[in-house]
Amino acid sequence: MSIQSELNAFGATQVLVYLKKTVADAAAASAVANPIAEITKHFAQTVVSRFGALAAAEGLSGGGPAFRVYKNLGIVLGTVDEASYKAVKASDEVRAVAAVPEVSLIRPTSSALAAPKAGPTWGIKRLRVPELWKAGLTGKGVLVAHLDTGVEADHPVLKGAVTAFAQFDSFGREVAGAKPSDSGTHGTHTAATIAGRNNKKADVGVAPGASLASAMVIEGGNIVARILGGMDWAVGQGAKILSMSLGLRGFREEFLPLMRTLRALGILPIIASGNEGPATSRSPGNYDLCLSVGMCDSQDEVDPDSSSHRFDRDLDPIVPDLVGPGVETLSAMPGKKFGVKTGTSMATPHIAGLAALLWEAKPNATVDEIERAIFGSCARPATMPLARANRGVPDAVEAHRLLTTGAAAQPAPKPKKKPKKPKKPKKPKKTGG
Amino acid sequence: MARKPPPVDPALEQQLSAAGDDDAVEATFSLHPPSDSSPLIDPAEVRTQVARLVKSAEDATGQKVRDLNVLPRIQSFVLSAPPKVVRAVLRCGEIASALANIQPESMAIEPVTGSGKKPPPRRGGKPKKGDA
Repeated sequence: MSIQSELNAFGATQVLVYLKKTVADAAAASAVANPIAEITKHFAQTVVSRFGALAAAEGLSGGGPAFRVYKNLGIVLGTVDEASYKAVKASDEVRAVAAVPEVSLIRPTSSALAAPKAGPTWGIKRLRVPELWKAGLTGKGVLVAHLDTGVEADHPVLKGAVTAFAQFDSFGREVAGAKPSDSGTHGTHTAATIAGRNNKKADVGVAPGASLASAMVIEGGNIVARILGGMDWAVGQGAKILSMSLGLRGFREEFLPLMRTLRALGILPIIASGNEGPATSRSPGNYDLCLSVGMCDSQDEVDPDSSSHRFDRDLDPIVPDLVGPGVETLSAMPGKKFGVKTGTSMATPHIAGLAALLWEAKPNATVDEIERAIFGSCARPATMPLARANRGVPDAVEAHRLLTTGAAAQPAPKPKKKPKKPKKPKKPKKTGG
Repeated sequence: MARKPPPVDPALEQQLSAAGDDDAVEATFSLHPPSDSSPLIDPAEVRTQVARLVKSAEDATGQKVRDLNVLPRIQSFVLSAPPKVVRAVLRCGEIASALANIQPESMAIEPVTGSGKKPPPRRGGKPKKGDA
């Protein structure tokens, strides 16, 4: 519902108030308990709004807290009525007032802590990555852009991996002085899958010598500018690979120019296909410009939640491009711990790490060559339907061979269209007798 | 050859329609490259182009942009402006696409629970027809 609809229906509603940059900076630096009292004086406790009613149902008197200040983001969440809504909008300290996004069905995370197990994870073994390690490849010298919830850079398996970190505000500007941290658990998990260092406890990283430019762009995940700010920054850092688990549901053209730009800059976007199951996908992952990743389990089955979609187009009609290990994958968790997660966002960093290994093997390879090597290496077991797994699972050894022997230098020939069989003439009907 | 209008996010359209004349709407924009064979714009030129089309929109509407953040390496920018200014920017030929900065739902692809019933695994054989 819009703000006005809520006000009309309930007389009050919660809003997100975005502060002007100068005000937000001052608030973030202030030691005062409420540095923006001039704005928050307009907010009121109430049980009348939907959220106030929920708070009252939970036993919070008066409809719950009147407001909450998110100093680092420059955002205030507060309850307004008609008069206070107008007053907040008119304030010189306010940049924008927005409705609180509708709570949509978000699958619960599977953030189960788990004991680490020595040696490579099942996913790393499935891709045959350890054979590239034996050949001396670790992804050293390759920078992967990791746009996620942040990262616990001092986790033991990530020591030295995160060479750059940034956080972005809701207008895509870099937050000055941001130190590496994870606003959740997702970022640390995916970062370690890309570039976790080998250690006695568990080898969770596909490219244990690669470097990460990690940006905190998801806190809620509904602010586009934070993601764009992270991308722009990652380009400036010199990243070759973008690993991301974000997208708008369905096929949306709005990210096409951006993905064209990234590829033109020599960056390979590797993007999760989504976790909504068959006949679903998200943009930009479902573009032919992106390497989209679905998920399989250790039994070589495509997980039922892995998104897949068939498009009516000549190039890359099936999404995802391939599947990677994504079910119950062990990796790092904040608090210097380990845990398992399931999702196409767990499969995606596996492929990002693979791309890093390949780029170390051939530093002057183009984006197209790296992608062709990965695609060409894929094999689809009989347990995986074409429409769900497309090319199947990559093989690191085969991808390395294709890349370094030049077999990936040329695009694969387009499959020849089968000539249509001429229709058999119909037999005349027997007419009795 | 005339370019087709840029794809505009329905959420942005909704926010523009719902906003009052003096309200600020936030949008992100991508620029068209110079040509198919030359897909990149020099970052300095990105800033110049954005400044030019912002001024053009302000002159056309008589209203000012409230905030602007240019992301030159990815040929994009973020704008906060009254709806008439945003629409004037959308009409500029340099715009390749536009999105509402504040989306109605999260774009994050969240992990799923590892538990839950799954179909029994197939043991070899051909994949079933109709699997999507």
